[in-house]
Amino acid sequence: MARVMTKEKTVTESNDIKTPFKEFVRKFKKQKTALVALAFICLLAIIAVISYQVVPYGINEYDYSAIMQGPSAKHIFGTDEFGRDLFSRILCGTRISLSVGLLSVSIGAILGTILGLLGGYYGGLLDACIMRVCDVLFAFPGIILAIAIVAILGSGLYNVVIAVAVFSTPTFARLVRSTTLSLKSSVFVQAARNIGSSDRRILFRHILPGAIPNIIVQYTMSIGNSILTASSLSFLGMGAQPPTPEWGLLLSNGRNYMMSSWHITFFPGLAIFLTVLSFNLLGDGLRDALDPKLSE
Amino acid sequence: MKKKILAVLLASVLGIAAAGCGSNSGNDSSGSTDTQQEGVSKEAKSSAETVEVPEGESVSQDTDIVAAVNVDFTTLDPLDTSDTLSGDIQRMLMDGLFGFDREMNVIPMLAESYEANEEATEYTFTLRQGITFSDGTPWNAEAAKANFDRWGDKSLGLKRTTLLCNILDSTEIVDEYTIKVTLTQSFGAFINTLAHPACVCMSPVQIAAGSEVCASDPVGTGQYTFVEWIAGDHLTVQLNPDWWGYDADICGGEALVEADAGFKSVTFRPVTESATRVAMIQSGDAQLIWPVPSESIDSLREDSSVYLGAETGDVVRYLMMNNQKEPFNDVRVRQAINYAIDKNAYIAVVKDGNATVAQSVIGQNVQYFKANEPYEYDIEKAKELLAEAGYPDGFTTSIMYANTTANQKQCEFLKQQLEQVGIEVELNGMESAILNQKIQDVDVPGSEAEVEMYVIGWSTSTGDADWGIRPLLATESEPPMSYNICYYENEEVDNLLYEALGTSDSDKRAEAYAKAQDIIWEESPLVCLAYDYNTWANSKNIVNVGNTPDGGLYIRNARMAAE
Amino acid sequence: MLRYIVKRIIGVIPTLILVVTFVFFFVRMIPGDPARLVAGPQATQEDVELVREQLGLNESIPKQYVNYVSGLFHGDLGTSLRTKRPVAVEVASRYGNTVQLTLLSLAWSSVVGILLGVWSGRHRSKWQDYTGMTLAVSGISLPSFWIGFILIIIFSVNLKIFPTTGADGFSSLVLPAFTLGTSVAAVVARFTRSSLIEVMKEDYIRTARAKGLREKAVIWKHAFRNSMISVVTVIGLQFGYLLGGSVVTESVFAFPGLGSLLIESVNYRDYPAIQSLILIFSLHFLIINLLVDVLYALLNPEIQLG
Repeated sequence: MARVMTKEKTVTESNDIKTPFKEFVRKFKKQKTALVALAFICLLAIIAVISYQVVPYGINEYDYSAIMQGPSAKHIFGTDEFGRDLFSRILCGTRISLSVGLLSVSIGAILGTILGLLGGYYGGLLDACIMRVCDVLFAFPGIILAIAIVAILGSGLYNVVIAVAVFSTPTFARLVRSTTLSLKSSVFVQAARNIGSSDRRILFRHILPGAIPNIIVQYTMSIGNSILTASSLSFLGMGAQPPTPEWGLLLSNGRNYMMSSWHITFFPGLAIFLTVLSFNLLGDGLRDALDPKLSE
Repeated sequence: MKKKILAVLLASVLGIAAAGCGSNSGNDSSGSTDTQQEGVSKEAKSSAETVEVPEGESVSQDTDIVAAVNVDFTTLDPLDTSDTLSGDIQRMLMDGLFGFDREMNVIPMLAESYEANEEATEYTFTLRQGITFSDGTPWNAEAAKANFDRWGDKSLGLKRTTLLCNILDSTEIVDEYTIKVTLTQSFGAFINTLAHPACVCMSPVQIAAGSEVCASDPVGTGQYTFVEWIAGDHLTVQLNPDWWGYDADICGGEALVEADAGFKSVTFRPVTESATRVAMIQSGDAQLIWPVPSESIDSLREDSSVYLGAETGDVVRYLMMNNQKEPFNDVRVRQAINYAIDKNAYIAVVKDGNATVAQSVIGQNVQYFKANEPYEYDIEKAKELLAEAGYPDGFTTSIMYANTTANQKQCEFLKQQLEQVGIEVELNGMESAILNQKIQDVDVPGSEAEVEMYVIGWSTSTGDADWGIRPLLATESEPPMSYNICYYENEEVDNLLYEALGTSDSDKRAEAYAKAQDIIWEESPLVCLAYDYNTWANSKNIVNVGNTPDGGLYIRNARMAAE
Repeated sequence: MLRYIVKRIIGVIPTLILVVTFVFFFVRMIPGDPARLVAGPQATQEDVELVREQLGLNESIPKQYVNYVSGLFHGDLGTSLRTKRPVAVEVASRYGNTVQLTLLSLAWSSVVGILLGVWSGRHRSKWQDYTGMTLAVSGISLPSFWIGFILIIIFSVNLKIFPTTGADGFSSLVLPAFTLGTSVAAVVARFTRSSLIEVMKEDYIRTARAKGLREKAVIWKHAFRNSMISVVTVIGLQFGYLLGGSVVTESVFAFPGLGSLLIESVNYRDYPAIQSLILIFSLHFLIINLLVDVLYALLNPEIQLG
């Protein structure tokens, strides 16, 4: 769903007198839900860093005498089918799930940005090739592409990261390409070219910064999407391997217990929901703040 | 008489070996029931309450039911079928010359009796009279010949063609209800093979129309007739009230099933998601589901509207070790691993209590089973053995498995157990298609094979010790030939297995298999974890649903109480 | 205009050829031997070879490619390795189901998405906006299999209102369509909101307001109508996404559609079926893309035809 973003390609240079950054901060502060989302993401980041030090139980602390217990004072999220503390596992899973999201989208964003810049700037055969490949990748439904890639590479977290990276690349490539195309003919790029700036300098000093706002918005929204895709792959048995406390794996492994022990799937589901929701709301807020067409 | 015993023995030994209907997948596996202890075990594990359906009061023949099953059907041509489920449904539509009863004893179906010569190369079958196919074609020697000719036609190139094509030589019509079949070689397993689901008889009209018609529109003499098959959605069969099995005269005195047994129609829905299957029986969208995931057994057993069936089957769960690779080439390491795994905890955690501790390499109902004392859970002893073998700090290894939820849980448990004695296990789950290739399509000595540890479930579909041991542990069975993924090579065991195969003397066979089981238990080439339960669930008012020992659905005599 | 359309249609062809070729070789890169999988778990080596020959898998890959492509030109999608029936037959029975499901999902999610989007947009930065958008975005924040199972537990097992599985009639489509549509509703709501906000800043809205039109009339008659173009575009694109993106939802509800066929085909390495399905998905995606672009060009004369 994230890929439709490109349809909205809206690029305008900021002509504001105030520094763009201050202006952005001013606008972003108005986005109440996005601020809450940002706060939650910061909290997640903190959890991701310190979770292993603070959790009450080890992530692989098995206790076969306390299997599938509901939430209690001792285990506030209850225990799983191995008697492990669900709260601790979900907290520690934050690092994994966030890493999967950040890493895969970062790879996709970097690759896509480079391809988009090159294609948009140089045009010609290079551009045609890049866009053709993007078309092919686009024509595959995302989850199917991910399934195919994981089938070839084998299941496991690293391969999930690669699969998600591959299918998010074309979105960024298109986005950046369209920005590049419109900036290429802009006055200041022409000016830079006239004073003899190198291509590299023009691309990275003049064009890329213009594309950054769009990339940031797309980046933020893709993270949520990639966490969801990772969990779908876990559902299909192609994602993370146990005993990794990846949220998608916790959720999909608990599905046979949904009728008898609600907590097994409820808490990992909630964790995924809140995290993905936060990234999506943050993305929305950033777009509202960064897109001049939407400014108030 | 002796000839017959030999035939049956060889049948179980060779017949199914060729047919291949065991289960090797790591998924929910098939199993067989315990004939002696059935009554006891049923009470212990199945739902306590059952309904009574007095004679003649079953409403099943007026009722359409939905059955949710775990895989999609592939074809309706018996000779082109390699999965249990498609075979089960074909057996409802078509009967063979011979078949199995619920305990998997061979019973005559479309054949009344047979005679064989000393060398087991010529078989004369007397056919049951008064039976017609559902298209009106009479069942007679001509129809039987058409089927035999199809089974012998190698050019068809179907999945089960090799079951008989190399064995059948010629079929001759003696009179209207007698045929004589000549084989190319001695084949004592012939009768058992004819009871195999691939050998059910089709109307000669369909056979003449070609394989495509056989695959899409099967016509047989069965209890049900085919209605429709919408791929991926459902397959429906309806009752054939004129089935010969209801007719005591044709059956030779006693009818095969009660007169009011069987459903008006059965619609099979393939539902691969276990949780969805369970939801279907709870919501009443299905009246029968099979199999039941172990996680849901307890909650279904408590559900007052559902009857949960669970019987100890003969599926054995193994942790295999590559005996030719270090460190598993040291018997002490293998024993240490056996001591390090708490089988009772395995059952409690992985199987949610729905399994029994394994006492041998084969299931307890398998012929020539000999119980051994299970390796007790003893971490100290395990550590001691590891130290003796030169691994005081343990080592690092990996388990390969097909990544189903059930397998993931199993391997996660094993990893945790082995960690207690210092063995680091890397879990290497993969899609079963890839796993198959990595494990099976390997033509190198065990020491060079990639596999270190592997989990597998195996059911002895023939009910005979041979099929439970030889494919898993004989030297000849190393990949790519069969499933000796342990790469276990023990000349003494091999010899005992062949010795048992070469004799019809039951005592001698028992002795040989007992010895083999003892050696295997001692040498511990694989860890025998547990015997799975066979599970299904049906609406409370339905009775006589069950699993056959080969893990298939058995509803021939199913009846239903009025609401 | 016509030139533009023709140019776009011609532009689709190389992409299709690339997809066909790419998929053909791609599926054969996936480890796993279809002959062994089709022959069944305990087939002997002889069985496997027999099956391989029967399925035509013993031919060289270039030859298989030529056969496949020439078959395509004759409208032949090949024969499924798994069921030995023509892929076209396998697909045909499920295609209608998937399209029905997709359309129903699209229908409810468009309506809900638009309503939420308009509501949020007209109350920008007020509590309505926050509530509306949070609600909408929730739809793309939940793993679809989880939504599916929760719906089954509530509506099938406990309330017994809707059936768990199948594709017989409207009631069996409700739960899967709801599951599938949540993400579309979110996307539609987002776009409706932002394009409404954009339009609301236009001069003619100010004029309309100045004329003293009621706010409702301003929103629906003027603003909404003008923001429809981009909303329609988005809905169109979602159709293609839904068609192929229902793999997970279909397997939760055991829905006999193209997604579950794809999973089954991947499990069996049923090359002809996988190829055909991906070809179908791609074709739809490209056609819809094309239609959307053309529509966009028609409705919005400002757009540069390039």
